Amino acid sequence: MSTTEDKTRKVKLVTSDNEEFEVDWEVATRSVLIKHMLEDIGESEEQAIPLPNVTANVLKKVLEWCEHHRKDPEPAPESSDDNRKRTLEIGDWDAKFIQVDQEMLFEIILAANYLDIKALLDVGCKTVANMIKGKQPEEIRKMFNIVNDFTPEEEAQIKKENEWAEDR
Amino acid sequence: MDNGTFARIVRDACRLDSMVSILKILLDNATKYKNSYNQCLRPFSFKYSKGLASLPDELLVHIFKFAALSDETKHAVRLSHVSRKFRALMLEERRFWTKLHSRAKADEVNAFLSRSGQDTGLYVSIHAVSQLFLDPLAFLNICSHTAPRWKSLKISEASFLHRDEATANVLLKDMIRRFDLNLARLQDLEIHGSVEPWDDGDEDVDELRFKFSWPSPNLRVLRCTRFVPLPSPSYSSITSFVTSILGTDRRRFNIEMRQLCSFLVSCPSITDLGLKWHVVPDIDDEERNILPAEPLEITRITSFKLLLSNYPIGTATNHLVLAFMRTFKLTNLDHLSFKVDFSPFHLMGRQVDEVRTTELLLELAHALIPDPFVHRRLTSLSVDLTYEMPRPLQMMQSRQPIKQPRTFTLPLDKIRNVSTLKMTTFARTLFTRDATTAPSGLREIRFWKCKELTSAGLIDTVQSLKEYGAWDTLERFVVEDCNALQHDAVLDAISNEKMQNLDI
Repeated sequence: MSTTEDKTRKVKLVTSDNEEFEVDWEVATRSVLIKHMLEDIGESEEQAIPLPNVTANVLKKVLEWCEHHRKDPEPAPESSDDNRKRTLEIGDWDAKFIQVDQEMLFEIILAANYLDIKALLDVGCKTVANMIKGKQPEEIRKMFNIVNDFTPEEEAQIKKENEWAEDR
Repeated sequence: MDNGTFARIVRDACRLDSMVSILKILLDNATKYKNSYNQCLRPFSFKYSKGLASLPDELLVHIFKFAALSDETKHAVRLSHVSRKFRALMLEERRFWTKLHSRAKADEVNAFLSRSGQDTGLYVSIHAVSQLFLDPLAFLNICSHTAPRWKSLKISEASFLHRDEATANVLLKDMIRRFDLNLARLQDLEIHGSVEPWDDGDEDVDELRFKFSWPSPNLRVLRCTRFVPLPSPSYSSITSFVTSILGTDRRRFNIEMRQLCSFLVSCPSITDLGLKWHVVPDIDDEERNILPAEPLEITRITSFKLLLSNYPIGTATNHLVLAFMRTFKLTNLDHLSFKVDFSPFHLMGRQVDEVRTTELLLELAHALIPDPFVHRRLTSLSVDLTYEMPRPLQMMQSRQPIKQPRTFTLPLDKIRNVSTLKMTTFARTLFTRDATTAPSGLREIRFWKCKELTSAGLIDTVQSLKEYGAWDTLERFVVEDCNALQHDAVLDAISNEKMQNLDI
């Protein structure tokens, strides 16, 4: 539970390339990782939070997302069987936000995973899922430069299964 | 060899030579284009592969879970054919193999069943189609023993079927006769019809309709299209019901309304009702002939979503909507949502000018918003007014925009109990009221995705709220995704303390 004092508090974050960011507590704590670290260090305002797995250009982008979603409610804990409730849709603002080059897209996914920002992780993963959706295996391989490394035996099984992959 | 035969062979040989040279040219060109494409894609592919390769397995699985949400049923097979790593991850997750479709061949269904494990919930789709192509009952022979694992069941039918063929209705009747299914875990049932299941001349159509009788104690959601189910104790646990009615003529509309009313009365647990109604302009407004004389009182329903599709606005259709809304007396209704998808020809027709459109929209508002003295618990209202311009008109409009401002007027007297109002509209919104009634209960107004809402239009809205005494009691004003608004003008119109969120 955040207090009024928390909301006016500033938090310092230091990236792997040693850049320091000062952000509002409410923005920083969209990350569950940072929230827990802040709880661990207590009231010490001067102490910067080190983020050794995130570079400055990626953190800047992640903080832009956190700033926009600072007032969003906390995400509900995921149940093992809530697949049906999810959708592949991405909100308008998020869709514009995630229009980045592919390198940055994967960096954002990794950063969201590391910082434990579930909603941002979902935006990134949905974007990749939308790219995969409806594609044939060969198209996916080509798009992501993936090598077909099946053994001849596996290849034979896949050949048998191939007609399953066709839409009827 | 005679001369004629020789000449024919020479001619055919020449044709083959031409074909070979054409194919050579095509092959050379295709190879050239392929190389160019590969050259273009190489730097991007490198980045993709770098990114994807950097993702740990659990993130790849997370992406695959989202890919599995798409409607297609083949994603699991396709992803498992990409690489050894993808295949291992896919085969490890049982939930990727839980979508069964009647179009699948027997070995595919068996593979899915074995990969999905012993107890994972299954999502089953059965498409009714002529047995000459694929037999849905053969599919059921393979997987009916897994019925206690089914979490959702979707039945649809091919649109080209005749009503005597294996329509959804006929298929379901067959299924009832042949399979004794125990749907212990079934939560969602969808039945999508497209063919009328009865004879035009037959008044007693219930005999011809399928009756759901399998035990389904956990069934919660029933979604139908052009299908109103027969009452059955198997539906007693449903809390959410959505269907569509078409009413191609008055007789058909009468039948569908009768079926709908008797179904709603038979379901004691429905709290959420959704109706899509395709209003046909040719139905006249002799409402007493169309709808029951006495309103149907249903106390359980707390949420009602109504979609009028391709709505041909006019006095006759507005009267029909009024009569329709009066059919239901939902005394515990808390949330009402209506979306009107206007027929652009009726909305933009030359004979309908701005003043007339505004009058018709006010008439429609009166028709759609139920009596506040009967529906005293109605505190949340969502209004979505939309139209889709056909492509030729879109092109004309982009060259020469049609300037035809329209106003949607909301009578505050009718929404006296509503505290939260959400608006998505192409029209300017104004409020009006009869000065003698009680003060407004509105506390929050949210304008969302009003693409044509201008700053001047919003200022008029605020002015009308002030004029009719509904501004001071308003606590929150939210504006989201309204691209035509200007930030400063909005802030001038709405004080900072009321403006909860401004995202234009």
